[in-house]
Amino acid sequence: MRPLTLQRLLLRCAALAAVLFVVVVVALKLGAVPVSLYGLGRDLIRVMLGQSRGISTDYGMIVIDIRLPRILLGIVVGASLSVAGTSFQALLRNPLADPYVLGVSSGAALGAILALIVEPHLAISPEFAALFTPVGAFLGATATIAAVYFLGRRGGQIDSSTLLLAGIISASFLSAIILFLMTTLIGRDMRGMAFWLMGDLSTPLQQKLRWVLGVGFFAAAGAIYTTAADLNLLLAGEKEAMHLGVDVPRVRLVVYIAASVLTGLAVSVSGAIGYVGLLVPHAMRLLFGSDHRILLPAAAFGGAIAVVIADTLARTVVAPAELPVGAMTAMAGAPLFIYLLRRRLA
Amino acid sequence: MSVQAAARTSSDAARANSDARLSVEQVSYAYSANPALAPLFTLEATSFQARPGEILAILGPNASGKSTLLKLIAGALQPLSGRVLLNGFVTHSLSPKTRAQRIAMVQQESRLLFPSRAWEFVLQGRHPYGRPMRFETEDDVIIARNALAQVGAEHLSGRWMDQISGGEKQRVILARALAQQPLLLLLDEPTLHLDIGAQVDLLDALRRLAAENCYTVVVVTHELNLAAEYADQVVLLQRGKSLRIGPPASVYQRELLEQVFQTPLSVEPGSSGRPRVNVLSGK
Amino acid sequence: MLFIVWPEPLITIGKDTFIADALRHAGAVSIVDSSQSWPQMNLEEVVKLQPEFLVFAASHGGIAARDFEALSSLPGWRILDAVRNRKFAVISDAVNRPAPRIISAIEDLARQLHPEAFIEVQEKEKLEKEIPPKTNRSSANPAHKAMNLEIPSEEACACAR
Repeated sequence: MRPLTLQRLLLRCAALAAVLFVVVVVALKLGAVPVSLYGLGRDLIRVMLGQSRGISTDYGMIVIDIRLPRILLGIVVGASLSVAGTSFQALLRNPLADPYVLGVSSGAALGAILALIVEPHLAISPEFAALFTPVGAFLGATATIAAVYFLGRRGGQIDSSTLLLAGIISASFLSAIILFLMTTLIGRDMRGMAFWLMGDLSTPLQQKLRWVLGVGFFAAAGAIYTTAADLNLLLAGEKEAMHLGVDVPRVRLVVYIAASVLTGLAVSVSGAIGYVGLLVPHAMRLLFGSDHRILLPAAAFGGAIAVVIADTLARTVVAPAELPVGAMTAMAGAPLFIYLLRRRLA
Repeated sequence: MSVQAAARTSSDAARANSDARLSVEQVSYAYSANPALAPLFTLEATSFQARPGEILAILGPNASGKSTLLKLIAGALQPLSGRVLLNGFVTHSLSPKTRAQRIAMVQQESRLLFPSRAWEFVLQGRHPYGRPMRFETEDDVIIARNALAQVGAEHLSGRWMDQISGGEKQRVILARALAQQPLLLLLDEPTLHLDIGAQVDLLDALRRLAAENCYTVVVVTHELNLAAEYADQVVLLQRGKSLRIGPPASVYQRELLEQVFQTPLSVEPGSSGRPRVNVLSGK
Repeated sequence: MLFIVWPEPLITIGKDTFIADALRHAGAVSIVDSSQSWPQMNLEEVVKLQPEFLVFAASHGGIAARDFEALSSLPGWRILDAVRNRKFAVISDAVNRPAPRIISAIEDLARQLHPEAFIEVQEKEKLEKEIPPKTNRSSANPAHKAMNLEIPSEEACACAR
């Protein structure tokens, strides 16, 4: 009988952080331009001290301005999707739940498409023009979150089965609208949309958005983590959880909103990267068990590692061109899914 | 009335109340799926009390309102009228956490999505005592281990919950309830899927635990003979109405039981001195 | 140069597409040498190769200039010389369709990329009004012949990358 203690939790997190660090270092070295780690370290310090002008070479600038932010973006997006996936699996009591099952990604996609359609007709200053698509996507996500919440209630509270149905129906409906728009608005205009739907980390983010993403991640993931012990009990059954002192309606609401926000943020900046939110929780569960106090942080690290690896492959295997990262996660994800399925049945 | 008489009745009342840990006072309930329509189901006003160390059985055929009454006692439902008091506190008004520290429920388990080991399962019973981000302490572990020992399931500690038998699982679930260190222990048809040996083991354990730890135990059942054998008090329900409340000897009257259970039977004193019911065949 | 089909994600044209061919006739050689038709380019590669010009096809009703401004503030894009020096060209989206109008798009691009070559042409045109026209240097393209266009030869100027 060895229950989870703070010490054990921190040790496991440290181990995962070490793996992530190694992955990041390797990812930094791979790419269009060569980089020496020493030079990179020096450049990083210069940037942190605000001396960006002093960066040694053009190549250093490339790494600092393009490669490093892309890796960091991958970390946050991967962590967000995995934590959201873990949360939805607990909330909906369904091992097949992923962050997109409640329609958030479809709403975000629709928001992005509408932003793309509308933006040329509005007079916006250039710096806001670049923000338009992610903001549009996030608004679409938020609207979907609210709509599914209201549809998914029964007796004034979230009911898991009703929520799942409401989410699936919304996702379906929104996808239909998206398909309609994409076929009626023919031309190259929508080509970028196809890549967005597959998930793509190649778009650099503006400074403002980076802050929003980072803060949003920690706030939402933190909120979910406060309910970690409750989620353990919720998985044993909702009635049982209530009799053991869990405020079930409150936990459901907090987890639903926070996990949906995580998904919305991730999808707004990188499109719908698939399989990460579904499989990383299961893989981490195999390694660390179902206690959410360790599972949630483990999923965050695991997702970050998975996406950084997938993205590094995506941008190096067909250099100088690149593949969308969603294609890599799909190619790796499907066989992994089969493996995990067999493992559970064995 | 005179001052002394008033003092005597009030002290009588106080003593009677201090004896009773659980007090169900004129509790009624109505359930309707649609507020505009008439209720599908009602529980008429019922009152009874139970003391520490006592086992009370709620007895009746299916759909008589037994589970509803249990949920009202647990504070999970709000009564339409009346109230349920536990040591003077209205159970429904307590926060879920405080309620879980005083009332433990043992009921039919939902299927476990991601199975855990028995010791993890029992440790969940310590949840009501923790702060939101806490980890279990040494004390929690000791309490959980003791709980397993008390139900004779220590050897199951490291086993997976989905790999033990029905009777063993029931014991572990009971251990989790004990880990909550409750005042009131509620069980909803605990013997439903158990074979006879397991049933007797469970009820023996309940009787022993009630006596040793001064729990008040309320058991919902439709097993006539088990209720007769183990209960100190029986509440007999039929279609939402409590027909009789009292010790088994007074409740187990042949005509009454035949009316409630709609089947011919005979009642006779058993070897332990408690009534014994024989179901007769043919109508 | 780099022909930008779509900025986010960065999509350009492969070397075997008709668009690439058309652009080559305008004296514009893409830095991308891919056999895919619409490759998605890694931004790092683009920065490493530092194209001289960025070429957009106006598809949103001629607001490509604003697209350019929007890109110029983004990390990665802002370290492109072409962005810093505002070396961008916008042509009509006729370039996307293999139809006669593509000729004017090509000419327009050539004018933007190689303005010095066109100054010669303008001078020549003035002279031709008085002097009988010389034989035009004709291109292999029959469409060009039919429309009697004079196209600056590839040796006349350095190719715009």
